[in-house]
Amino acid sequence: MGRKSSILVIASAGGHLTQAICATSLVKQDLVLVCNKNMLLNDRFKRIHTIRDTQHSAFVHALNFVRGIWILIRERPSAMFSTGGPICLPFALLAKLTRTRFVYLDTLSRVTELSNSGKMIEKYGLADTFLSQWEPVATKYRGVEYHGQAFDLGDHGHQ
Amino acid sequence: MVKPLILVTMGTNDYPFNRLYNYIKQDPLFKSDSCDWFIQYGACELADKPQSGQVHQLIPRADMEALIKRAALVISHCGIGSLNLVLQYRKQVIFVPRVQKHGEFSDDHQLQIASKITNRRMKVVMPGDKFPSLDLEQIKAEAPQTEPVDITNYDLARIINYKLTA
Repeated sequence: MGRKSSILVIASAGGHLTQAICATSLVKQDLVLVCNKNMLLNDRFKRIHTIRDTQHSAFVHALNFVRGIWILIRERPSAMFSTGGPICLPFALLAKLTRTRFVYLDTLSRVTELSNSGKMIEKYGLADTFLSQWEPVATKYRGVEYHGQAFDLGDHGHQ
Repeated sequence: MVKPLILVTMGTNDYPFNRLYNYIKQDPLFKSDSCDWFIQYGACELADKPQSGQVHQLIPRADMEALIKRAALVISHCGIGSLNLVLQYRKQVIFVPRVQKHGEFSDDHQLQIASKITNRRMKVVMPGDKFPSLDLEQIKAEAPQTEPVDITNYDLARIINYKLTA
Protein backbone atom coordinates (compact mmCIF):
# COMPACT_ATOMS: atom_id res chain seq x y z
CA MET A 1 0.00 0.00 0.00
CA GLY A 2 1.39 3.37 -0.98
CA ARG A 3 2.26 5.93 1.65
CA LYS A 4 -0.05 8.95 1.78
CA SER A 5 1.83 11.95 0.45
CA SER A 6 2.13 15.09 2.53
CA ILE A 7 2.84 18.76 1.93
CA LEU A 8 5.91 20.14 3.72
CA VAL A 9 5.26 23.65 5.06
CA ILE A 10 8.29 25.75 6.04
CA ALA A 11 7.51 28.86 8.07
CA SER A 12 9.11 30.80 10.92
CA ALA A 13 7.08 31.13 14.10
CA GLY A 14 4.79 34.17 14.34
CA GLY A 15 3.43 36.00 11.34
CA HIS A 16 4.98 33.76 8.69
CA LEU A 17 3.32 30.75 10.28
CA THR A 18 -0.01 32.55 10.66
CA GLN A 19 0.00 33.27 6.94
CA ALA A 20 0.98 29.68 6.11
CA ILE A 21 -1.93 28.35 8.17
CA CYS A 22 -4.37 30.66 6.35
CA ALA A 23 -2.92 29.95 2.91
CA THR A 24 -3.04 26.16 3.30
CA SER A 25 -6.49 26.10 4.88
CA LEU A 26 -8.03 24.27 1.89
CA VAL A 27 -5.25 21.68 1.48
CA LYS A 28 -6.68 18.24 2.19
CA GLN A 29 -3.38 16.36 2.33
CA ASP A 30 -1.41 15.96 5.55
CA LEU A 31 0.67 19.00 6.40
CA VAL A 32 4.08 18.61 8.02
CA LEU A 33 5.63 21.76 9.46
CA VAL A 34 9.26 22.85 9.59
CA CYS A 35 9.61 25.73 12.04
CA ASN A 36 12.23 27.52 14.12
CA LYS A 37 10.21 27.19 17.34
CA ASN A 38 8.05 24.38 18.61
CA MET A 39 5.48 26.15 20.72
CA LEU A 40 2.53 25.41 18.53
CA LEU A 41 -0.53 23.47 19.57
CA ASN A 42 -2.24 23.17 16.23
CA ASP A 43 -4.08 20.19 14.87
CA ARG A 44 -3.43 21.40 11.33
CA PHE A 45 -0.02 19.73 11.34
CA LYS A 46 0.62 16.00 11.45
CA ARG A 47 4.20 16.55 12.60
CA ILE A 48 6.47 19.45 13.45
CA HIS A 49 10.23 19.49 12.80
CA THR A 50 12.13 22.19 14.67
CA ILE A 51 15.24 23.63 13.05
CA ARG A 52 17.67 26.35 14.05
CA ASP A 53 16.80 29.94 13.36
CA THR A 54 19.06 32.32 11.48
CA GLN A 55 18.94 35.26 9.15
CA HIS A 56 22.46 35.45 7.82
CA SER A 57 24.56 32.59 9.22
CA ALA A 58 25.80 30.40 6.36
CA PHE A 59 26.82 27.80 8.94
CA VAL A 60 23.30 27.48 10.36
CA HIS A 61 21.80 27.42 6.86
CA ALA A 62 24.24 24.59 6.01
CA LEU A 63 23.19 22.68 9.15
CA ASN A 64 19.54 23.19 8.23
CA PHE A 65 20.27 22.00 4.69
CA VAL A 66 21.61 18.70 6.07
CA ARG A 67 18.66 18.45 8.45
CA GLY A 68 16.41 19.20 5.49
CA ILE A 69 17.77 16.18 3.59
CA TRP A 70 16.82 14.00 6.56
CA ILE A 71 13.34 15.58 6.75
CA LEU A 72 12.74 15.05 3.02
CA ILE A 73 13.82 11.41 3.25
CA ARG A 74 11.51 10.87 6.18
CA GLU A 75 8.49 12.78 4.90
CA ARG A 76 8.81 12.34 1.11
CA PRO A 77 6.48 15.30 0.49
CA SER A 78 4.66 15.64 -2.83
CA ALA A 79 5.15 19.42 -2.67
CA MET A 80 6.62 22.14 -0.45
CA PHE A 81 5.17 25.48 0.58
CA SER A 82 6.69 28.44 2.38
CA THR A 83 5.81 31.93 3.54
CA GLY A 84 9.40 32.58 4.77
CA GLY A 85 11.43 33.76 6.71
CA PRO A 86 15.06 32.99 5.95
CA ILE A 87 14.85 29.40 7.33
CA CYS A 88 13.08 28.51 4.08
CA LEU A 89 16.20 29.09 1.95
CA PRO A 90 17.88 25.65 2.39
CA PHE A 91 14.50 24.02 1.73
CA ALA A 92 13.97 26.09 -1.41
CA LEU A 93 17.34 24.83 -2.65
CA LEU A 94 16.46 21.26 -1.70
CA ALA A 95 13.15 21.54 -3.55
CA LYS A 96 15.06 22.60 -6.67
CA LEU A 97 17.66 19.82 -6.33
CA THR A 98 15.07 17.10 -5.71
CA ARG A 99 12.63 18.52 -8.27
CA THR A 100 9.92 18.75 -5.63
CA ARG A 101 7.24 21.26 -6.45
CA PHE A 102 7.79 24.44 -4.40
CA VAL A 103 5.23 27.20 -3.94
CA TYR A 104 6.45 30.36 -2.22
CA LEU A 105 4.20 33.12 -0.87
CA ASP A 106 6.17 36.24 0.05
CA THR A 107 5.13 37.72 3.38
CA LEU A 108 2.27 40.20 3.72
CA SER A 109 4.50 42.62 5.58
CA ARG A 110 6.51 43.39 2.42
CA VAL A 111 4.33 46.05 0.90
CA THR A 112 6.79 47.86 -1.38
CA GLU A 113 9.44 45.23 -2.20
CA LEU A 114 10.08 41.52 -1.84
CA SER A 115 11.57 40.20 1.39
CA ASN A 116 15.28 39.36 1.35
CA SER A 117 14.47 35.64 1.22
CA GLY A 118 11.95 36.31 -1.54
CA LYS A 119 14.56 38.21 -3.55
CA MET A 120 16.96 35.25 -3.38
CA ILE A 121 14.28 32.72 -4.32
CA GLU A 122 13.19 34.89 -7.23
CA LYS A 123 16.76 35.62 -8.37
CA TYR A 124 17.78 31.95 -8.50
CA GLY A 125 14.42 30.67 -9.75
CA LEU A 126 13.97 28.29 -6.82
CA ALA A 127 10.16 28.36 -6.75
CA ASP A 128 7.80 26.73 -9.27
CA THR A 129 5.18 29.27 -8.23
CA PHE A 130 6.08 32.59 -6.62
CA LEU A 131 3.37 34.84 -5.22
CA SER A 132 3.49 38.29 -3.66
CA GLN A 133 0.62 39.56 -1.53
CA TRP A 134 0.86 43.06 -3.00
CA GLU A 135 0.07 43.73 -6.64
CA PRO A 136 2.57 46.60 -7.12
CA VAL A 137 5.36 44.28 -5.91
CA ALA A 138 4.27 41.41 -8.15
CA THR A 139 4.23 43.61 -11.23
CA LYS A 140 7.91 44.51 -10.68
CA TYR A 141 8.99 40.92 -11.30
CA ARG A 142 8.41 38.66 -14.25
CA GLY A 143 6.84 35.42 -13.07
CA VAL A 144 5.68 36.71 -9.69
CA GLU A 145 1.93 36.27 -9.32
CA TYR A 146 -0.59 38.20 -7.25
CA HIS A 147 -3.81 36.59 -6.03
CA GLY A 148 -4.61 38.65 -2.94
CA GLN A 149 -3.61 38.44 0.70
CA ALA A 150 -3.61 35.51 3.09
CA PHE A 151 -6.15 37.24 5.30
CA ASP A 152 -8.41 40.25 5.05
CA LEU A 153 -7.04 43.51 6.47
CA GLY A 154 -10.46 45.18 6.41
CA ASP A 155 -12.67 46.43 9.24
CA HIS A 156 -14.81 43.28 9.95
CA GLY A 157 -17.61 45.19 11.59
CA HIS A 158 -15.38 47.41 13.73
CA GLN A 159 -17.31 50.42 14.91
CA MET B 1 -15.35 42.75 39.67
CA VAL B 2 -12.89 41.54 37.05
CA LYS B 3 -10.37 44.19 36.13
CA PRO B 4 -9.93 45.03 32.42
CA LEU B 5 -6.88 43.44 30.81
CA ILE B 6 -4.27 45.37 28.85
CA LEU B 7 -2.28 42.92 26.74
CA VAL B 8 1.14 43.92 25.46
CA THR B 9 2.81 41.73 22.84
CA MET B 10 6.22 42.15 21.26
CA GLY B 11 6.11 39.04 19.04
CA THR B 12 8.42 36.08 18.66
CA ASN B 13 11.48 37.69 17.12
CA ASP B 14 14.87 38.03 18.78
CA TYR B 15 15.23 41.81 18.65
CA PRO B 16 14.58 43.83 21.83
CA PHE B 17 11.85 46.44 21.82
CA ASN B 18 12.69 48.57 24.87
CA ARG B 19 11.12 51.67 23.34
CA LEU B 20 7.64 50.12 23.56
CA TYR B 21 8.34 48.97 27.08
CA ASN B 22 9.40 52.49 28.07
CA TYR B 23 6.19 53.91 26.59
CA ILE B 24 3.93 51.66 28.65
CA LYS B 25 5.78 51.93 31.92
CA GLN B 26 5.49 55.73 31.79
CA ASP B 27 1.70 55.53 31.67
CA PRO B 28 0.01 56.01 35.09
CA LEU B 29 -2.04 52.82 34.55
CA PHE B 30 1.20 50.81 34.70
CA LYS B 31 1.45 51.54 38.42
CA SER B 32 -2.27 51.40 39.02
CA ASP B 33 -4.29 48.57 40.51
CA SER B 34 -7.34 49.42 38.41
CA CYS B 35 -6.44 47.14 35.51
CA ASP B 36 -4.49 43.94 34.86
CA TRP B 37 -1.53 43.80 32.52
CA PHE B 38 -0.11 40.86 30.62
CA ILE B 39 3.21 41.66 28.97
CA GLN B 40 4.82 39.24 26.50
CA TYR B 41 8.21 40.91 26.37
CA GLY B 42 10.24 38.75 24.00
CA ALA B 43 13.85 39.95 23.87
CA CYS B 44 13.11 43.12 25.86
CA GLU B 45 15.19 44.00 28.92
CA LEU B 46 12.39 43.97 31.45
CA ALA B 47 13.19 45.99 34.58
CA ASP B 48 9.93 47.18 36.14
CA LYS B 49 6.83 45.10 36.41
CA PRO B 50 3.28 46.44 36.36
CA GLN B 51 1.43 46.92 39.63
CA SER B 52 -1.06 44.25 38.68
CA GLY B 53 -0.59 41.43 36.20
CA GLN B 54 2.02 39.13 34.70
CA VAL B 55 5.07 39.25 32.46
CA HIS B 56 6.22 36.37 30.24
CA GLN B 57 9.03 36.21 27.73
CA LEU B 58 7.19 34.03 25.22
CA ILE B 59 3.93 32.11 25.26
CA PRO B 60 2.34 29.61 22.84
CA ARG B 61 0.00 31.00 20.20
CA ALA B 62 -3.01 29.27 21.78
CA ASP B 63 -2.31 31.05 25.08
CA MET B 64 -1.89 34.34 23.26
CA GLU B 65 -5.22 33.81 21.54
CA ALA B 66 -6.91 33.20 24.90
CA LEU B 67 -5.43 36.44 26.22
CA ILE B 68 -6.49 38.39 23.14
CA LYS B 69 -10.06 37.20 23.72
CA ARG B 70 -9.96 38.59 27.25
CA ALA B 71 -8.12 41.81 26.48
CA ALA B 72 -9.89 45.17 26.58
CA LEU B 73 -6.90 46.83 24.92
CA VAL B 74 -3.97 45.35 22.99
CA ILE B 75 -0.67 47.19 22.63
CA SER B 76 1.49 45.49 20.03
CA HIS B 77 4.47 45.65 17.77
CA CYS B 78 3.39 45.67 14.13
CA GLY B 79 3.88 41.98 13.43
CA ILE B 80 1.66 40.01 11.10
CA GLY B 81 0.79 37.33 13.67
CA SER B 82 -0.44 39.93 16.14
CA LEU B 83 -2.29 41.84 13.42
CA ASN B 84 -4.07 38.65 12.39
CA LEU B 85 -5.26 37.90 15.92
CA VAL B 86 -6.52 41.39 16.75
CA LEU B 87 -8.40 41.52 13.44
CA GLN B 88 -10.04 38.19 14.20
CA TYR B 89 -11.20 39.39 17.61
CA ARG B 90 -11.95 43.00 16.54
CA LYS B 91 -9.89 44.48 19.34
CA GLN B 92 -9.01 48.02 20.23
CA VAL B 93 -5.28 48.25 19.46
CA ILE B 94 -2.30 50.55 19.68
CA PHE B 95 0.40 49.41 17.24
CA VAL B 96 4.00 50.53 17.55
CA PRO B 97 6.07 49.47 14.51
CA ARG B 98 9.63 48.31 15.18
CA VAL B 99 12.26 50.41 13.43
CA GLN B 100 15.76 49.53 12.33
CA LYS B 101 17.51 52.67 13.57
CA HIS B 102 16.69 51.76 17.18
CA GLY B 103 17.91 48.17 16.72
CA GLU B 104 14.33 46.87 16.94
CA PHE B 105 14.52 44.87 13.71
CA SER B 106 16.84 44.17 10.81
CA ASP B 107 14.88 46.52 8.55
CA ASP B 108 11.85 48.82 8.48
CA HIS B 109 9.29 46.47 7.02
CA GLN B 110 6.95 46.96 10.01
CA LEU B 111 6.57 50.56 8.86
CA GLN B 112 5.40 49.26 5.48
CA ILE B 113 2.57 47.16 6.89
CA ALA B 114 1.77 49.86 9.47
CA SER B 115 1.03 52.23 6.60
CA LYS B 116 -1.68 49.81 5.41
CA ILE B 117 -3.60 49.68 8.71
CA THR B 118 -6.72 51.77 8.20
CA ASN B 119 -8.96 50.17 10.81
CA ARG B 120 -10.71 52.85 12.84
CA ARG B 121 -10.13 51.13 16.18
CA MET B 122 -6.42 50.67 15.60
CA LYS B 123 -3.97 53.48 16.34
CA VAL B 124 -0.50 53.36 14.85
CA VAL B 125 2.31 55.17 16.66
CA MET B 126 4.76 55.98 13.89
CA PRO B 127 8.34 57.13 14.68
CA GLY B 128 8.16 60.68 16.03
CA ASP B 129 4.54 60.30 17.16
CA LYS B 130 3.63 60.62 20.83
CA PHE B 131 2.40 57.45 22.50
CA PRO B 132 -1.22 58.12 23.53
CA SER B 133 -2.29 58.32 27.18
CA LEU B 134 -4.31 55.28 28.16
CA ASP B 135 -7.91 56.08 29.04
CA LEU B 136 -9.19 53.76 31.78
CA GLU B 137 -12.85 54.63 31.21
CA GLN B 138 -12.54 53.88 27.50
CA ILE B 139 -10.77 50.60 28.29
CA LYS B 140 -13.46 49.63 30.82
CA ALA B 141 -16.19 50.42 28.30
CA GLU B 142 -14.79 47.97 25.77
CA ALA B 143 -17.38 45.31 24.92
CA PRO B 144 -15.96 41.78 25.18
CA GLN B 145 -15.23 40.14 21.81
CA THR B 146 -14.56 36.47 22.36
CA GLU B 147 -15.78 34.94 19.10
CA PRO B 148 -13.37 35.22 16.19
CA VAL B 149 -14.31 36.43 12.73
CA ASP B 150 -12.95 34.20 9.96
CA ILE B 151 -10.68 36.54 8.01
CA THR B 152 -8.97 33.86 5.88
CA ASN B 153 -8.87 34.69 2.19
CA TYR B 154 -10.27 31.46 0.74
CA ASP B 155 -9.81 32.63 -2.84
CA LEU B 156 -6.05 32.67 -2.28
CA ALA B 157 -6.23 29.40 -0.30
CA ARG B 158 -8.01 27.77 -3.24
CA ILE B 159 -5.25 28.89 -5.61
CA ILE B 160 -2.50 27.70 -3.25
CA ASN B 161 -4.24 24.33 -2.95
CA TYR B 162 -4.41 24.08 -6.73
CA LYS B 163 -0.75 25.03 -7.16
CA LEU B 164 0.34 22.44 -4.57
CA THR B 165 -1.79 19.54 -5.67
CA ALA B 166 -2.81 19.88 -9.35
